[in-house]
Amino acid sequence: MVTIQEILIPFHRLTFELEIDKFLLNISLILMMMTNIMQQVDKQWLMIDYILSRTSPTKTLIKLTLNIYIKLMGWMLIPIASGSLGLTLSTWVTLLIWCEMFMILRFKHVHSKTIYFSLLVLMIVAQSLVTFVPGLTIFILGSVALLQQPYFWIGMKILLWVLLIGSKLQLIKKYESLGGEA
Amino acid sequence: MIKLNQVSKVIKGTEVLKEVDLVLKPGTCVMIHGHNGSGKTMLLRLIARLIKPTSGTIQYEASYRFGVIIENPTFFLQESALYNLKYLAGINQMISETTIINWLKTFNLDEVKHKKVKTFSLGMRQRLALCQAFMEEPDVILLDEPFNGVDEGNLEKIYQIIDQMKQKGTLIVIASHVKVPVEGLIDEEIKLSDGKMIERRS
Repeated sequence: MVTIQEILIPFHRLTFELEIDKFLLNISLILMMMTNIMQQVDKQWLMIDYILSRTSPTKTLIKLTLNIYIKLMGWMLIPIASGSLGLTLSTWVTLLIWCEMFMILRFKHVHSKTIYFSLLVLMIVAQSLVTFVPGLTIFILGSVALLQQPYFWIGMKILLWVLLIGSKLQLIKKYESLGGEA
Repeated sequence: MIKLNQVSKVIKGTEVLKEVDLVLKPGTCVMIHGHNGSGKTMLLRLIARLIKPTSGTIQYEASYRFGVIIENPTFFLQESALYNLKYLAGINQMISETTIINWLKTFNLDEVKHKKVKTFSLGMRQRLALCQAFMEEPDVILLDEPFNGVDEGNLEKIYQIIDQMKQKGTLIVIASHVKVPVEGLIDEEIKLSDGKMIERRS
C-alpha cells in the first residue's frame, strides 16, 4: 500500500533513492494537477477582456487569481491525508507557485499548451534530479530535503511565491489583451 | 468625448493601425467597416484601453465606463447564462439580479437563463454578449461584429436597444461588415483598409 506521503516524496527513506513505482504515481499526480491548473487558467482567461473593460488591471488580476485559487481548493485536500503539516503546507504553496508560473507566462502571451508541456517537463526533470540538486525542492511537490528541513523549504517556497506574485503585478500593468488577432 | 490623435499600433513588427485620427462623441453611433485584418478589432481594443498605442495619443474627456464585445463572444461554457452575467456584474456591483434578468428578457434569453452556455447557439451567445455589454448601461459601448448569427427578429430588437442607448447619451462604436438598414441609427461611418482610415462619412 502506497501512502500519500510516499507519492508526494517518492524516495526511499533510508537510501534516498528514487522509487520508480512511487515516482510514476508522483508524476501522474503532477500531470493531473497541471492539467487542472491549465484548465482553470484558460477558463478565467476567456473573460479577461470583459473584466479588464470593467475594472483596473490590478483588480482584474486579483479577481482572476482568487477565482483560480478557489477552483484549485480540491487539490488542497490530498496532502492533508498525508498527516504531515509540513508536507501539507509545502504542497499547497507548490500548487500556488505552479499556478503563478502559469499565469505569468500567460501574461507574456505564451500559448497555454506550450506552458503546460514546458512546466510538466521541468517538474519531471526537477523531481528526478532533486537528490543531487536539493535547491530544486522549491519547484516540486516533495523531496528528501523537504523531509529533513520542512520549514526551511516551505519558507523558500513562500518567498518564491511572493516573488512570482510581485512579477505578475508588474506584468499586468504592461499587459495588452491582444486576443486572437495578434 | 474620446479623441484619437495620430494613433498607430505595431504588433510583432507589423503596423496594424496607421495614424488614425478620430473624434467620438457621446450620444452617437459610429460604424467601422473594413475587411478582415483591416484593423477594426485593434481600433476597438485601443479605444477600450485593452491595448496601448505605439504612437499617438487617445484622450478621454471623462472617466468612462465601457461595455465591450471584442471578437467572438466567450463565456464560462459550463455555467449558466445568469451565472456568467452575475459574475461580471459582481465586479463593480452596480446592478441587481433583477436588472440582469430584465436585460436577459430584453434579449429574449430569459427562458434559457439557467441553461449552460455550452448549449447555446452562436446567435444566443451573441445576444448574451450584447447583454453583458449593455446591462450596466456604460458610457461607451464597443461592439465587434455584434450581429453575427443573430436572426432577423432579434436584429430589429438590437437596433432598437442601440437607438435607445444612443438617446440616453451612450457612445456606441460598432465594427461590422454588415450594413445597418435602419435610417438615422448610424451617425458616422468609417472605412479602414490595412490599418489606415480611408473613408469617413457623416
